[in-house]
Amino acid sequence: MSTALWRAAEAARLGGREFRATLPPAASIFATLPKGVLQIVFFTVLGGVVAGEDHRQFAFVGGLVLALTTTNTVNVINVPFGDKYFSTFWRIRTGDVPVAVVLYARAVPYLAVGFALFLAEAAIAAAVLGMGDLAVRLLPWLPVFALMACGYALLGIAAATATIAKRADVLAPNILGYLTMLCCGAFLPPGQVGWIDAVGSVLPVGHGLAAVRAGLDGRPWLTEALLELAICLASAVLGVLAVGVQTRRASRHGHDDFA
Amino acid sequence: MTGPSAPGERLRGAAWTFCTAARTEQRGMRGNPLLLVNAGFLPVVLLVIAVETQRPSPSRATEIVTSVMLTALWGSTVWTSGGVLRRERTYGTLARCVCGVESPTVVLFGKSLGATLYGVGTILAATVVTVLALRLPVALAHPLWLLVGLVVVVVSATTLGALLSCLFLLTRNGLVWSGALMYPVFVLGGLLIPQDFLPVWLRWVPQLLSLRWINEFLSAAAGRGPTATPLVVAVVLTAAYGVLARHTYRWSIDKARQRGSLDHA
Repeated sequence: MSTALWRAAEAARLGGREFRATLPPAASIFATLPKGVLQIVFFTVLGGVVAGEDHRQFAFVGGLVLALTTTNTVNVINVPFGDKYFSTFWRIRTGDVPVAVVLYARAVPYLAVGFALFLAEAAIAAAVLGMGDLAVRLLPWLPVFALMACGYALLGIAAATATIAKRADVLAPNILGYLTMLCCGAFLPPGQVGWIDAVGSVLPVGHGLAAVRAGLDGRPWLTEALLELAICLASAVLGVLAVGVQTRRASRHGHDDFA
Repeated sequence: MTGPSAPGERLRGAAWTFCTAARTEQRGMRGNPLLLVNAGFLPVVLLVIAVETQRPSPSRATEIVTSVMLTALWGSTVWTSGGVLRRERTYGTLARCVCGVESPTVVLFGKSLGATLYGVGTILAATVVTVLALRLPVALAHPLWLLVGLVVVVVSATTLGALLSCLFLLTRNGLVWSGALMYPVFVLGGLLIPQDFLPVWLRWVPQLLSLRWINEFLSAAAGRGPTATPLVVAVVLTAAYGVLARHTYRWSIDKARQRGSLDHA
């Protein structure tokens, strides 16, 4: 194994330990998991309440994505926040491994556990809602769900890192969550409100969700999946830029604590 | 020479502490934009997705607006007044608060009121702007009764928040549990999802939530005319939350004192 790969793996292992300290298994099982299940149930039943039975399936797929991203994946922002609250950024900044590599590698366990939790949440919610058939039909689309989670995590880290020096640091991920809920076609079908579609088209999740829906309906889905991939890569670039700017700022001003 | 203070003086002291606690909490919240975002964004998002998915009839639109506001209020209560004691512990002021001259319960309820007023104000402003932007035909047939309902909403959310705050005192993962407590009420609270949509064996759950009764009262007051029963039930439940919060607070503080863990769970 090359030294760089070993270092990245060590950073990921550290991320796993951080995750267990921040979100102990009891909190994941008894708090995050039920929250995800109930989030899926809420949006699915709400779909039936506001737009009739036909909208339930639409809202179920959207609810799955919202649980995956806004409930499970959002925890990745604890990585940059951890360095802020424990004043450890200077150690990373002065180390051999690039800062972005350390941050992203530490985020991997958060993503992995979030996706595992998502699978459990989806299975439980599908059983509760009687949507087992639809859930089984969604299984081949799990890679697209994973892509959406990656894009959301990368943009979440980018947004949190970009605003971490301000008191607005926790705002960015929260606003991202609300925008995802509103604009990415999870509940509100695309084509209803123009500006909402426009915002959703540049955020992660929207195109991936469109690809999954197209695939379920037997329509072409590849273009939407590629657009989701492109947004995922753009989010990664934004994250690297944000890390670069904050690192440079910390070097120049000595604001390692991001006060 | 000093002696036991007169009841009037004690009452004045408690009232002053209550108002000061409410003001202090509001000042603290002004510096926390996250709370503003959670209270301001949630009603907007819920209202837009609920209304734009399928435009409702005028009478249904009023019900949706009321339900969205109360759903958002629950979300806001969990994070704001529900987090009062958690924040006291974070700032290291909980021990001082419970050792003070005035009753810590007065401080807790004062702070909870301050947080609730802030949340209710933000939710009202966000909802009014969204309703105007969406051009929703909302009825306001009995404004005086709506005002009465609003007062009950504030008092009820204050006691609910105080009760939640005491529960979060028992765990060191209060933030995680705060997030987990939102959706159970979204689903089972009888607000945006009517009671009839729940399985029969779960339909008793919304009856225990004052916000569900206030929702019924406000929806009726905005349209066909209010009835007394939902308002009375909401007031009784609010009083029960208050008594429960007072006892839970005392119990959890006693426990923490025994364990020497006032400032950490």
